[in-house]
Amino acid sequence: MITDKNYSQYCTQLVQGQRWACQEIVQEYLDRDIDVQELYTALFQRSLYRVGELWSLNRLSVATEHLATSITEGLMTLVYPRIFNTDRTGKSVVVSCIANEYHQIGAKMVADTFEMYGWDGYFLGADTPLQDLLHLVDSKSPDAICLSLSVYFNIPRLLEAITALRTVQTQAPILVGGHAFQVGGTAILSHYPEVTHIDSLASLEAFIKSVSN
Amino acid sequence: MNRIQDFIDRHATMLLLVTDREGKIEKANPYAQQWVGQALVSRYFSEIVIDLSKRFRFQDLLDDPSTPHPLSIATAALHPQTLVFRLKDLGQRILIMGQHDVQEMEKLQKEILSLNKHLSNLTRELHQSNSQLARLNQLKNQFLGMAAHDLRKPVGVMMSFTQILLEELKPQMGDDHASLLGFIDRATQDMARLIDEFLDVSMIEAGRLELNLQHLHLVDVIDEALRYVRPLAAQRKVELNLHYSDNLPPMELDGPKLGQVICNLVSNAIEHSPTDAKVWIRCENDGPMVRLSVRDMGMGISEAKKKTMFQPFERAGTEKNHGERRIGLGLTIAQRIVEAHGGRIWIESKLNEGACFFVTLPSIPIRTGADHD
Repeated sequence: MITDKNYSQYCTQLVQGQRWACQEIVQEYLDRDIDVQELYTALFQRSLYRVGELWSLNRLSVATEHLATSITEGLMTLVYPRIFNTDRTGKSVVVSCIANEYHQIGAKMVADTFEMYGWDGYFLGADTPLQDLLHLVDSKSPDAICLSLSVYFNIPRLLEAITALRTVQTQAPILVGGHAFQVGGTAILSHYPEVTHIDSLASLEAFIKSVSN
Repeated sequence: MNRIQDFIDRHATMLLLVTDREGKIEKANPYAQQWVGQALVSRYFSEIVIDLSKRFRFQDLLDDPSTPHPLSIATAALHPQTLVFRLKDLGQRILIMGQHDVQEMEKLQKEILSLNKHLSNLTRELHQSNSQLARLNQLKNQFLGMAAHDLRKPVGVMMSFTQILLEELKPQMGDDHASLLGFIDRATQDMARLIDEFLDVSMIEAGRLELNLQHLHLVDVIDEALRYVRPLAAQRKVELNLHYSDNLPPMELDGPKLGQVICNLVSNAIEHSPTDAKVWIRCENDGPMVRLSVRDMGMGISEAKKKTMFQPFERAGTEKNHGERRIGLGLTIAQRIVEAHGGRIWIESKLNEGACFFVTLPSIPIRTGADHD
């Protein structure tokens, strides 16, 4: 269980760019067999949202924000031995950031969650060109496609990707999510009945369980 | 005006220097002092410039004051940094202004962030691939174990019936038929041994190597193992010489498994030896360990092959002298058994100078029921 006190301690170290101190905290949680979703949401996501907030208040610099992101991404590798060693279900998923979208941690958490449930994930990182996404979906015929959106103003590109995906893939459900939808954008998704908005890792887990059953 | 100048002087994040026409610094702003990390007044500008080619001349800057000059400076953190310098000729004095190239820094930052993301994604892929490979390896071991288990019974039947035929019908058979039956007998024994090796490897790789440790004398284990290989030595006319110290302590050993290791090392030594050669087996104290060595007079092993000898499915280091072809699991199994005892196995050899396998085992008790991963 991640307490507020432990979170604050971690967040302070993260903002100060203390990679090793952060790693020590995360490793301790992993040694205590913490639930990965809790680690991702109550520590990584919460601290990065806080960093973003501090940046928006001009209380820390872009460089500090980048450093915090890089440290977090590095810390996620500590979790990999656990998430990739689960039994495989034979299902696969393509997880991608859309073009012009440079925040990939959320998408990576989504890909990791699928892996934990035994899905084989194809993770395309930040700023993935639409053609690359279409090509991978076409060649892998995944059972689900996830698109991540952090910046609200990229919604037109997301809609473009959804429309284009229908030219190569008509079966797999498309899940969209990300920080962008905290400021709106879900209404427009109602015009795309095949698209589901996932608002949290808990919702994602619920979706995976529903599909697996 | 002076207040503005003072404000800029104090707070501008750029190097501001005033020098005479020879480049001797007369004034430096706080940022310059802090950045370079030492007192600048009275030093020459050329002293803070990194000039590995020894071509820097302050006068060249003065000759071309309108052009920005990228120059590298040693910072307080001892990291060279390149700043863009601009000069203003004030007559008796020169104003020098050094700035970071912001566009270059931004480009660098963007590239580093992009590379870091890429690296992080590759690390993720590597973990993903490792897990896939581990799963495939597990499947391979399961297959190996199941196949070996299923083959064991029919091969056992063939061995038993061949031996019955050899014992009961030999008097009625001609030499040719008896010889053929002898071939079948040896071939099935080889097959049985190979199947046992497959089973051993599949169990070891699945992390199911369990030791049944007992207080034993290593020499007794060696004596028992040599009983199995003496017929082979006699057949190849190879002399086995056993030497051991009298004061060897009793140890915690799994006798049958360690016997398997010794059989493997000694039979390998015999098989790689020329006819009428000798094999030496030595056992002696070595500090807190007991060291066993098996030396032969064979062709020796090259450096390259030594590195792969203990890996599964690697062929033995040299061609054997009698044309045997084996899968090459014996040394892998030997290594895992020795390591499970808390010991070490290695080889010393040069081509054409024979080979010597060494095994060290702790002479102090180790925990019982140790699993080897």
